[in-house]
Amino acid sequence: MSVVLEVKDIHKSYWRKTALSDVSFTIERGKVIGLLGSNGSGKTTLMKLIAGLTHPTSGSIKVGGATVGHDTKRIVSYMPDIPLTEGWMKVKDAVSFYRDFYADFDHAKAHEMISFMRLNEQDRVSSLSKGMQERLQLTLALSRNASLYLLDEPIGGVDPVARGKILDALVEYYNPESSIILTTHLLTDIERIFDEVIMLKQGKLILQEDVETIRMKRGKSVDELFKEVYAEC
Amino acid sequence: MLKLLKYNWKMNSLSLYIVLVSSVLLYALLVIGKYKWGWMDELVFVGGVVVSSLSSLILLVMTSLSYKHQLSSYHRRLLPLSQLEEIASILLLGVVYMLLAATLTFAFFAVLDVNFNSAEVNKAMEILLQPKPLISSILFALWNTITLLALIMLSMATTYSFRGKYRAWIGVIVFVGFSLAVDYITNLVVGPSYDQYFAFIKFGSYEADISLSESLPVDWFHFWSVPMLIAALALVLKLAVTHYLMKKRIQL
Repeated sequence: MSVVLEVKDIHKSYWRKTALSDVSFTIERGKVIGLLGSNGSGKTTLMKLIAGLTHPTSGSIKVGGATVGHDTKRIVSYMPDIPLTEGWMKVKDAVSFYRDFYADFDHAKAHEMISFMRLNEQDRVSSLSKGMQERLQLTLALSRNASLYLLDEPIGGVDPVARGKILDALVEYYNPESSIILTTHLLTDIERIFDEVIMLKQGKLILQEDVETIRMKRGKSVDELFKEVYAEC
Repeated sequence: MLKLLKYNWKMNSLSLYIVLVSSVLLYALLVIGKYKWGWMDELVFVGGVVVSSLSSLILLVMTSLSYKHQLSSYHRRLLPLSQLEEIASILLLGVVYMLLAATLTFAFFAVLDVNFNSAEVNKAMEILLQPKPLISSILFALWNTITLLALIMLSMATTYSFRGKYRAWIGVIVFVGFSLAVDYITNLVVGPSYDQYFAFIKFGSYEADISLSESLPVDWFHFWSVPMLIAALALVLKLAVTHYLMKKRIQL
């Protein structure tokens, strides 16, 4: 399997505060990775570094063999935990925005997802509830045929029905040739779709392991392991 | 670049329509005031200049806010566009807005037919509305819009290169400092008696001897060529530093 993401000796600090320290790992194509950690462990910083929104203090990140920058933005689809749309937009404008700027945007898939997520194209983005906003965000992010998807808390703060719908969409619409890195605290709901998990603690990588290995060797679910590792946090 | 311009245009469209419609209504009020209610020409003229200046200022602020949005929004920073395209798109937006404001202003003065008590001022107005000085004025206004916007963009990019609550002051210092530096260099090269047309901040007072047909810069390229060169070099420097900051320093 080819490597889609290579993170090497990454160190990131903001003034005197260290957000990430000596983080190295690789991710192969076709995997769904759970990026786990307690609050402030560096998950979002790592995602922003991979997306090219911030720069590492030292170390290197390569996506599809290219150093993070202008070119990798074409193949990385990032869904942060804040809206990716503008207040004046309707749902159809948000879709047009993505279609205009991303060559890998699949318009037919977007329409299918809009219908699946029960979104209305004429609705103004600012009038959508939090759950509907998250559905729209996921629709926009997954409608691209990207090599790497970065989903930061895609089911955080939504009700169980919306959560189920979002997870179903993830399984249904993700491109098996690409990889997904997903952060969440709601492991019970989501661990079924993970192939691997990466755990960060106080900015350091403490574990990267197959979910099957965790279950077979440690005899635990990912949720149980998470609670054990982060018990004191 | 044009796609970005399209979305900036859409984002600002409501505010733009409000500014343009308000300007047209105010200009119409001034024209009606002159012809129906007998308002003094001087008053109507000054009113027109105030409306024109205010609408231009608001459009400049709107352009600057679009750039702020470009720097600080996740979905904009994630776009696979080069920094040069982003900068060019904002400059183009500013130029289009300026042209809109200028069109309304010239339409107003063309319709107005003002008559001042001073023969010299009347002559000046007549000359200014002739094709060559008119085109020169529009080109100068466009040039000034671009240089001022580039300075604003540099200041904002510097502000967003830092973290913390005092970062806005760094941007202010860059804005004032750069403007003064260009002013100083222009004076040094051309001489202190020269009108510092390109500087944003001007110190000192001026007395103009209006002998219009001689002093109007109809052969403007020759007349302004040296400060123009300095301003062009300053513009390139501003854009290069802004490009660098956007590429290497600004982080979300």
